[in-house]
Amino acid sequence: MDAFYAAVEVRENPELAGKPLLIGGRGRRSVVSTASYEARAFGCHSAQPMAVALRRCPQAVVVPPRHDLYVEVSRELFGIFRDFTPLVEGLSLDEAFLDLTGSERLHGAAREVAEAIRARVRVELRLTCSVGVAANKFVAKIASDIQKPDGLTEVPAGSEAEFLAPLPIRKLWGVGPKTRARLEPLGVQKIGEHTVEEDLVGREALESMLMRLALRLADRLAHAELEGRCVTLKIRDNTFRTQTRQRTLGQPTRLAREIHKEACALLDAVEVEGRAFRLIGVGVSHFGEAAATQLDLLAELEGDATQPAPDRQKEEALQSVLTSVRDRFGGSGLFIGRASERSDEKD
Amino acid sequence: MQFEIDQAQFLSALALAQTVADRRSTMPVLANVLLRAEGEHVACSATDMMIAVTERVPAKVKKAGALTLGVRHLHGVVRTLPTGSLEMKRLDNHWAQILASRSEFKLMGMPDTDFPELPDPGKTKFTTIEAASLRQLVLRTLFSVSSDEARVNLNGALLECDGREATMVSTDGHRLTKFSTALTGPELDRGIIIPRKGLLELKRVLERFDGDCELAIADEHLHVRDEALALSIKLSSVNFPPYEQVIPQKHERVAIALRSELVAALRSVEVMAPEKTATVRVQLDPGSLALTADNPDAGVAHQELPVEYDGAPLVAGFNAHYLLDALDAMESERVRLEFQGELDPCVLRPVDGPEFLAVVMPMRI
Repeated sequence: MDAFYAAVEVRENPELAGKPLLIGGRGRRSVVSTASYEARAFGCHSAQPMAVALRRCPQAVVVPPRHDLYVEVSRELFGIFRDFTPLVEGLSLDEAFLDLTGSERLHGAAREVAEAIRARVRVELRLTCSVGVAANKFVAKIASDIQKPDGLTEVPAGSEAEFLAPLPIRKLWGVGPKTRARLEPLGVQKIGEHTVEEDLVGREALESMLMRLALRLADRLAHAELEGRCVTLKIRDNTFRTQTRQRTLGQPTRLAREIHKEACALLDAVEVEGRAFRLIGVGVSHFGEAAATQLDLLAELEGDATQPAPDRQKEEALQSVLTSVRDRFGGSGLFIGRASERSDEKD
Repeated sequence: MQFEIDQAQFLSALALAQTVADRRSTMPVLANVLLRAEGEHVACSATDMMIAVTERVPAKVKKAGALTLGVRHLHGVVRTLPTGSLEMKRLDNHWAQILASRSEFKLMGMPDTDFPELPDPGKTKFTTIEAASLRQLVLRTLFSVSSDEARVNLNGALLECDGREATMVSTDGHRLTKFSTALTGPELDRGIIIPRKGLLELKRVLERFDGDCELAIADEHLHVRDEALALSIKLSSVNFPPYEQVIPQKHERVAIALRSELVAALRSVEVMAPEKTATVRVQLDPGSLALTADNPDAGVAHQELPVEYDGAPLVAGFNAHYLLDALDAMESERVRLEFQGELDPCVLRPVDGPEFLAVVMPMRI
């Protein structure tokens, strides 16, 4: 939604239309919840101390927030979303991801759904909103910001990199002033110049990132001819709280899938809900210790009793093919399904 | 349908039916027990389409008839009722009423016509066997049947019978167990494979038979029964591996140990062994066998026991559970351990015991 709280207040009290509006308390330590577009023109923005905002725009009308009202409008808004898909992931009262996968036959292409939602929001809620249409949440979120207010931006699948490359890095979801301050001195100012460094949110995103890392790690272990018995997970959130978790395996490994499985199990010990992560890493250590491998009795029927059990044998064969293809064609030559989910990233 | 029945006998039949009934099936009626009152009995039947069990419980039948009821609820209700007689009656629309002293229950059932037809041995000739012998075959081999769904051909045990002696073999790919015993059973021209779940049920049912029972193998089913109780198991059609080929014929090293001593030593080092692999290091020297479990996360355990052995030293790794399972399936006082090399299978046999052998593949340590 565009300047949600402010827009709702204007709707309830049309006299406010066109005036610079600050939603927030009047106290000395109050903070601006929302600034209307008119107020933004004066340099006001949300999360700004009210005193600062009023200094920049003394004529602004300050309206105390009416949270219950916004919740009510939000409920109506989400009701509209759910008419199009059951897969609605709310980010806040006025923002949500809608997964339209498979709903084309019912409601038409994603862009048409976006138009329909915008029309219904306009008519039923008398508010405006901005929509981003893309193949993944991260790009959709950025796209929704491009033509605010009251806009629609579609990023066709496959053109994500093209779309992102010219944007200033501050547009990246999760890149705040701090990250920007660190990236800009490095010459990183444009997204396309660097592997995307957005914060990871949600278990799914973390797990697919772990798969990418596990794959690379497995390649390195294969080259070094090492197997490790200890898998370590290191994770740092956007408040710079760092956690490491490790566990020792029954037998050493260099298999991407095993490393990934262990790393995901370690992730269970980390509170993931409601946090955004800026760093995640996987390591393998305790190399070269005795590998106790159960031998297979029936392998004898094929003439070789000293082979490990067939499932692990297959897994090892798979890993060696993976590694050799990746050596020849690069990291994107061949990978395990889950690692490809983040198509917004360039290697 | 209306009958009076003894609570304890009814409960026991329902308990057995409950182990067979399938609550997770897409056919809801498979979660039910079929009750058929006829003559002087009520027959309680349950099936999951692979296994079928029927127990006839003596009853005073006032009105013949049949009905199916959810076995979990019925069992739960009957269990709470006082011992002695209870009365059951079929009401309209497949409802059942149960009355016992001052209790009344009404259970919602389904028509008996919805219940699948149970495998019928028909005119197949049954042979009388000693129930305990067949039960021994199951008990001594069940533990090494594979439960790994990826190895379907190992998800059952092989039964061979020449009319005088029967042999049961199971393997999960890591170890193999074989047990033979006298059984004047049917003469089979080839081995049959009894699936794992069927073996578990067979074990339960055979326990209830007093002395002899009847056995028949026909139409891809194994049937066992006595006057009151009948079990049918659908046999598996997979190919069991040619197990004779993996039983080592030669061995360089033979050690004889006291079974109870070896079991005690294994149990004590197993505590320290890595949980997942249960690896123990077995070291054989003239006159002694040493067991070591080394767990980098927990500590080290070491046990030595005297054995009859005068060959060359050997060190090999084994899963302690596999050795213990095999030793627990024996009764003899002494056990014979046959080794070849450190990566070759170990064969365990009772000394002066029945025809039992266990092959256990080592671990590479």
